Amino acid sequence: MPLLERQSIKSLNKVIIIVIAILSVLSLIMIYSATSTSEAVGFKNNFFVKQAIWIVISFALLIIVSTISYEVWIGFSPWMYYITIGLLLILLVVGKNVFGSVRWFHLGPVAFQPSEFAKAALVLMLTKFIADNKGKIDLLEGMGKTFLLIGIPMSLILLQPDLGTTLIFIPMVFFMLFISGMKKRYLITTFALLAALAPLFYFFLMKDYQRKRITSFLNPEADPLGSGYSLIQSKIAVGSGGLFGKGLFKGTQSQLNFIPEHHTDFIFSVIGEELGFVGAVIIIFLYYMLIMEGIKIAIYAKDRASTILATGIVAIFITQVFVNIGMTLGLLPVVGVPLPFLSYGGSSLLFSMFLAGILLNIHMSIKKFSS
Amino acid sequence: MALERVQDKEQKKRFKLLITFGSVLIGIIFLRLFYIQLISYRKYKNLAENNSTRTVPKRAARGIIFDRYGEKLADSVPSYTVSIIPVDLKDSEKVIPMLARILEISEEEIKQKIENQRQKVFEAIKIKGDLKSSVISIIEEHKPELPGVIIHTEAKRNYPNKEIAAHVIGYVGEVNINDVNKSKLSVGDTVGRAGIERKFDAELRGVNGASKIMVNSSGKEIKSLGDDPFTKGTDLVLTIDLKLQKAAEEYFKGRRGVIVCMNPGNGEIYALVSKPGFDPNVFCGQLDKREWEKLLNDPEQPFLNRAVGGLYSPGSVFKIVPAVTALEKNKLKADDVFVCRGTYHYGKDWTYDCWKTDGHGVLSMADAVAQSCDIYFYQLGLTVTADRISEYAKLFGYGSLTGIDLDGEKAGLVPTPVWKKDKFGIPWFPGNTIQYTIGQGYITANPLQILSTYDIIINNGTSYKPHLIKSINGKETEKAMLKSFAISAKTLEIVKKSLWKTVNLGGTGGKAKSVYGIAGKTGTVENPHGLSHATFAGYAPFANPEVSVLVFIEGGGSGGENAAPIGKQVIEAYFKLKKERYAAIRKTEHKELK
Repeated sequence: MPLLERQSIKSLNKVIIIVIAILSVLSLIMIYSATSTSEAVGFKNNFFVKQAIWIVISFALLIIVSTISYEVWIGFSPWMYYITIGLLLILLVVGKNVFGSVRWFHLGPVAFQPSEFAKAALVLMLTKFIADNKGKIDLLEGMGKTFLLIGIPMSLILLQPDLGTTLIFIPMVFFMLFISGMKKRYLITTFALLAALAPLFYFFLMKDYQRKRITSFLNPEADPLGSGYSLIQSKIAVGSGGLFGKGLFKGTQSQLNFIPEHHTDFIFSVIGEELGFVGAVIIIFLYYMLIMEGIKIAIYAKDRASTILATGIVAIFITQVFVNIGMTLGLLPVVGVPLPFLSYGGSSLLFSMFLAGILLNIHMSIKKFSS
Repeated sequence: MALERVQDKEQKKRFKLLITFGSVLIGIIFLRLFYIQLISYRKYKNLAENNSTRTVPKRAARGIIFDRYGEKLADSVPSYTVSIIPVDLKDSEKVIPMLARILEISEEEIKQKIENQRQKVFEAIKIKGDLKSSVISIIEEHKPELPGVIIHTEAKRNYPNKEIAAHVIGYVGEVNINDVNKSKLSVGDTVGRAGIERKFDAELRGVNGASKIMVNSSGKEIKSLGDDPFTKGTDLVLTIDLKLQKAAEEYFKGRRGVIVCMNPGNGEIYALVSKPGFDPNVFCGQLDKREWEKLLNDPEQPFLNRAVGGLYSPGSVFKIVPAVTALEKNKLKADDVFVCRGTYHYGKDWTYDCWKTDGHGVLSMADAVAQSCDIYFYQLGLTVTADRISEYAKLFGYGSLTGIDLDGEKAGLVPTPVWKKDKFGIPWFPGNTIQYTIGQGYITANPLQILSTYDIIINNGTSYKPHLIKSINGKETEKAMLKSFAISAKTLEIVKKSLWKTVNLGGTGGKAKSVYGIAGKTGTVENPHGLSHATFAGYAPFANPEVSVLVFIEGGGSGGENAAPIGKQVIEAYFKLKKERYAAIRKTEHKELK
């Protein structure tokens, strides 16, 4: 296991580090603002303190992971994959028996969300699978295996039910296969098939509350106090922010609890309301930089595996950012997807940092190679 | 450098798709932000403000109604109101039934009120006012289960003297949805429904204010966003003398009918009693539907202001009109006499009785008035003719409104032969004239009109518009002429003498004889539905009248026996109060001098 070297610290991708650092600071500020007057929450700045701790821990993880060769993780990926499936199964059984729907493991004071772990496991496992099966993926057998490999954990997550995380996987898988060189017609056929299956899924597999989220997305005014509530309130929050926003702690929508989950999934609504268009645009610009930097790393990655891995990670970030922000702006139905590096929550932050760490390592491996 | 290792051209092309994918998604977000934060900013800003702002109307306290000496006839007291803010009514299926149970009203009533004001979901809608403290504590106790339900204070109309002068003051009620639609009123506002409250509603009402509060998503108040205070309505000073009014009501206790007491010199009404009456306070709280219907369907018609809205045959108090007509038209002289034998035969088949069955004997006009002899007046009427009597009746004010500042006045009817022919297709018979002359038959009038005709005599041919408003905002109501016509001094002297005689020289009004020098006329009105109505119209002091009074007792029997004493009591009460007030003023002046 390569150790942290002077040179490698120097060759850390500054754009990614800076973007993540800024987002982390903003995250703390916004969580502080969002929860400072919240009455539903018992301890005033509990969230702020917890998130601060998580940021420290996960930032450390980011640096550590950046020094560990991504190949190590690819090597671990089958194990991670099996653990994921195991965790998801346990969650499904225990959750079903006890609560009906559960996405969390509670380990003492720490709540752990296996969906987040699954993201990391799957992106690594798929990288390994594509790398190991060079030239076979395009065959029918290879394709079948690929979809089995992804389909199992995806179905388990879908059964939780966690529609949001499931959605994140689709562009990830698509771009990983696409960049790896899979024939366009296969991909097109496959995703066309998926699209065709969507209505079946909607009518037969989705829970009532999920269907409601989609119908209320299409027409939120139909039930403004019920299922359309979050969507309407979030849009109002962002819209009322205007150009410069209402100022920190001054967003009526966030401070008076009109936006539900305003420190987690709806943190962007708080940003839109309190920091306005200017603040929101800065945020999306930061993500844009992160994404473009990630793509650059994928392009220049030293081998096929790292290219595919970087692509997968970038696709996860793009999708997650779009699904989350799109939801707060009323572009997409409400699905529980956190905003990477900004939303409150340890699991999400930890695994976002983990994936960013891998990206950093891929970047360093290019430098090393070229130097 | 590393470019060579990028596998092939195809992959490069494929990366472009990934770049496009990322850029397009970020671009979509950017455009969306641009749209909702910059283009639709106003809309969302308003929505956000509405979200957290609730408006609780501060309904204006109505103006105070004072009597002429500054006694309160109507004022406002604080009371508790329960309202619903529809947007915070998160669980209406539970909250409405619960609130209905607590308030003891129907769920439909609550739903209807919310429905009536459905455009204003951020505004408190009044559900019930005048809450008892027990009800308030129940609501406070269940506050967490009643999201969207608030309690606030409001001014409630109060009538400290209860049923005293109820028909003058009137009463208020909550507006109904129809009123709301055609005016600037909003649901829950109070409007005058009768009396002065109704006639001067615009002045009394004032302008509502509002208090704005900031609430959180559970509708819990976070802070006040400022109050827009209401503007209290204008105070009114009435011509009513509360003490005299109280005295008059006391004398009239247990009776049905009217007392009107006024200043003949300017039309100011000192007291106006109409019985049966009601306590206007019952309308200020929330009236039970059953209670309401009971009052409305009461055959005694307690809400009818009989003084202006009750039409009666005037009876013998009308006799001054034919008397003046006869003298003015030179059809009779004052000392011309007719004979009364108790029964008057007209033609072969018709006989008409005097109230005194054994007759009055030979009578001149003054005696005929004083004795209220009917047979004298039958003959007078036939001599003068109905047309001429009607001509004068109209000059006196019969058949036209007095224009008092109350709604619901009825003008009554002055019949003529032409009118009868038009109306019934049959000619006017001499018998009609006979009845007409003694104030019976077709003629009808309201009691205030009758009193007003006596003012004509008192003021030598002029009457003033009776009114109840003394001043608004310090601006005094000026006296306005109602009727005025020339009556010769001689005629006036004869009529006045007759009225003096009636009370003071062995006439039918003897029971009204008083040190204050009362003159007047009694009447006993035949009532086809039961006992005769007793009336008395009088004034004092004879030489220089400053107060006139009309007493009309439905089914009261003899006017001389029953109405005259009450007339006397009222007039004496007027003078006694006047004396007391002078004494009080002198006492304070005396003290000041010391």
